[in-house]
Amino acid sequence: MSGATAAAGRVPTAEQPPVAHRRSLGSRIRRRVPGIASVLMIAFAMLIMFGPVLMLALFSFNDSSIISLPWEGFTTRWYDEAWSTPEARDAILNSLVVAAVVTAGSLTLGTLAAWGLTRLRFPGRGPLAGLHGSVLVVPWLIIGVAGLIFFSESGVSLSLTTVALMQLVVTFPLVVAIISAGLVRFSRSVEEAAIDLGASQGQMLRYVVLPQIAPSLAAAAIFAFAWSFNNFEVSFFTGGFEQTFPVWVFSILRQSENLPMVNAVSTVIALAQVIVVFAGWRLMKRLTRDRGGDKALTELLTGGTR
Amino acid sequence: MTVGSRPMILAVALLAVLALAAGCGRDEGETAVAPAPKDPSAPATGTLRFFAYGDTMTDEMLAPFLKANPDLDLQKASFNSNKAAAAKLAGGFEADVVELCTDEMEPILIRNLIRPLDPKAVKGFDELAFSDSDDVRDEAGHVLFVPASAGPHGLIVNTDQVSGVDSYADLFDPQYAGNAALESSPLTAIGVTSMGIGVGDDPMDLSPPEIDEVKQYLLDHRDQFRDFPESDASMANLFKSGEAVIADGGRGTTEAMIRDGVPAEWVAPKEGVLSWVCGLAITSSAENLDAAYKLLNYYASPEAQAISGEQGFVAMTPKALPLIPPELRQGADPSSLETAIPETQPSASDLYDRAWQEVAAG
Amino acid sequence: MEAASLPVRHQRRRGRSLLRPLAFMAAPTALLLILFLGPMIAMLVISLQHGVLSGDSGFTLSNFTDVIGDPLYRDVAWTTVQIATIAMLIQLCIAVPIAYVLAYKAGRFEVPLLLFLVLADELNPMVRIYAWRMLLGREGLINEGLQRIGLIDAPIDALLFSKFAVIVVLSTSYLTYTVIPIYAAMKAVDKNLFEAARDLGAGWWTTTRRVLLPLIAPGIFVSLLLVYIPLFTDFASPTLVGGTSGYMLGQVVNDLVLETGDLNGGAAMSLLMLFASGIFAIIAYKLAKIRQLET
Repeated sequence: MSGATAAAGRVPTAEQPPVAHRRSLGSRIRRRVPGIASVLMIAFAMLIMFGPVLMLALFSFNDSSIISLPWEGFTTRWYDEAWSTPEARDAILNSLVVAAVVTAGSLTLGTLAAWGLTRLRFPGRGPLAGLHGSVLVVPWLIIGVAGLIFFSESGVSLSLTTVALMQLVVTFPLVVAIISAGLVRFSRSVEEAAIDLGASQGQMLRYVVLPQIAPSLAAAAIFAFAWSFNNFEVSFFTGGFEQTFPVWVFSILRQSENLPMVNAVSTVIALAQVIVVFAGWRLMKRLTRDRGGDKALTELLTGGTR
Repeated sequence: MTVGSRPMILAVALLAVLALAAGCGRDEGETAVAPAPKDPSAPATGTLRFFAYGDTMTDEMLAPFLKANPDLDLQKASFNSNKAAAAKLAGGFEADVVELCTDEMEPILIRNLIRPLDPKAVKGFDELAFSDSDDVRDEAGHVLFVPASAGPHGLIVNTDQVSGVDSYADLFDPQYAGNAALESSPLTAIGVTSMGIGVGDDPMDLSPPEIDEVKQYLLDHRDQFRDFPESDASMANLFKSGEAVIADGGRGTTEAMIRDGVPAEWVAPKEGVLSWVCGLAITSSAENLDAAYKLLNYYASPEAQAISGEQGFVAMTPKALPLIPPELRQGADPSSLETAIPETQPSASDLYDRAWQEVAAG
Repeated sequence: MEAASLPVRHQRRRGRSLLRPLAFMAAPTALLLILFLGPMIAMLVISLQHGVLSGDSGFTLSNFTDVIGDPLYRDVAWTTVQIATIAMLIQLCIAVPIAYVLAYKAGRFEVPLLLFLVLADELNPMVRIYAWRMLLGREGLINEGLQRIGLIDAPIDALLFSKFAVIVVLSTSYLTYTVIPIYAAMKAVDKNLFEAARDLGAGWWTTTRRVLLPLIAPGIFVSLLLVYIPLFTDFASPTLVGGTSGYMLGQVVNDLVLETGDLNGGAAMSLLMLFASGIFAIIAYKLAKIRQLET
């Protein structure tokens, strides 16, 4: 729990006991209503966010070629089938390669730009920051179409390379936003003090800056990977024969083939994403341990949107 | 001049260059006849990018080809109309072999997206049905594509739910309200409806007022239709899930449904059956010509055409007929299409497209 | 900072101070200029040119006038605004209570719940659409389930391939980005304000309306900024679950560009959508800022 909430809660608890003592049973039930409503609300949100995907996972083990009731028995044959379908394997592999490249590229470019935009003064800094920010507001559909037009007019044939390049364009400004928020939060005076105390630029970056922005870097890496892996619009318009995973699922769904094999693949992907998010959370908890752990995490999440 | 403005000038200069680059067009691809491979018997290697309708490149159809060319990396991508194929190819989506259909190949030809081919490099080319047709050649007499499949287009019904159907008008029978479907193709959807409601003489060449009348009728009866599926696979799924019980469509689609266990039947309506012809062409940006010719040869072979015939299409070479089970042989005979109305590009094809767009968008 | 008293030293510092920004900013800026502004300019140029096949050359505004003057596209635009707005309102109705619970009531569950929100965003959107299709179809789990327990006799067809389906899928697509800005705004609110309101005799409705909502309004506008534009330009969801009645502007762009090959019309349509998004973004941004100043 964050320190602010705890501090705010202290005042009423000190005064409440004598008041609560005189409360009737009815009012005690009434007092519990908000708690029950909270639980219901959360349960409802969980249901609509994760219910469908859980069902998908469940029915990927159903021994029936149509995805519906009744339950015909447990099977793993859709997983076998998915594994032996080259299109599925290729699509996932393509997505993983693109996401890895885009994540590495985004972290590099994003960190450079974030440092330049928050720590350096130079003419044209405002417009440049605006340029980076504007990428985040332009819808991906329109960036995808513009990319297609650009490549088509300049005679570049579409491939995984064009997909990765355009994904990098839409993803690295997000890294800029996350890391800039991290850099803005802590004061420059520590860096200056390090230099004054005789640290070299490299030492200052290694021992002062890196530990401070490590959680932001980790968060940026997770978000960049997910943005790239899940990216549909940009990949759809600027991709060639080699499909990424979302484009492959889209084309299958568009042909409305309800293949149980796709359930199996999707389940594996969803599970992997759960693991990545959880592992990322543990990692960030360790990185932020000496600065209030959970509080630093919520700060990280909300920092960019304030 | 201040130092600070230099990056700005640089940026402006860069943008000017980019704008120029955006203004000039992409390179025209190769338009000369694609040279035949020097050694036609050697197995194909490398990568071959095959861009066609989904039902042209089923796993069953391609299995023998892949077995004969184990070192070839065959990549497949499907489209739902030649127009869409042309849009993607022109947009930089490069392929080696592309499927063309005579009634809709105009957008591909007009953009020079394919190059003529050498018919002597395709074994048995002259025996293929429609190989002597003008549709297969350009003005100079060069062969544009290898005819690879053809079939009739009529009605598909679910025999458990529907009986006694013999007319396109039955698509609009109120008892099938909400359970009918029309293929999302302007030419067939408008054509079939015009025959069903008796508008115009030639469904492939309606006049603008006739097209308007058909459009209005479709708009008034939109609730009749569950969906306008974009592909054969989508159509098959609508029948599989029970969402459609009557639709327009080809015999190949029907056979695919029957193989999937749907009690489907193909019906030739009394107003007439439409027929289509499609074939394979080499694109102007093709890189693997040897493998492309290999694929064309495979599709022209009796073995491949027998598989095509079993899937409910017309077998394009007479040598394939003995290989086809007797019950499917009659339908697979090209002569079965002699009385059909060939699907051709209408003179007012823009109006067909527009009318269908309005119906589909509701 | 040290005073630049000596002209020589001043010069050197200036040289260096431009070199360093260049080292940091050159690569990111070049990428954006070439592959973000470049495509945008290419799109603008194309949208002002006649089609390759039209036979005309030179510049024209006809692509824009054709798109704007077409009653068909006006209808689609109206449907799109309807669907996007309803989906946005539904998300806000879900997001505000969720953010409230997260910010004030969740206690030790706050961080795990936030983690779930992040997870909801990480899950592949195609997988999610696929899952909804499986649930909503005629033989889907909802229809089958309702029939089995005897609530309905025949499957409800309107669940899938309808506006309803598009709204359902879109309303669950961007919850993360709707909740988090509102949650952030709530975290910034001093909880004592509620106590004060209660002490002054305000009921929960009055407190919500007069105290909470004005304070979190900036967060709501940020949510609108982040979520409404992607909803407005979505094309995968209506394509996959909209059937014949949930046709949206994103699909028009796709159809123009990839189905009919009218790059010029598609570019014009894209730019008009970008223009509309831009106006919307500016309004939401200004509202968010104004509200922040007032509070």
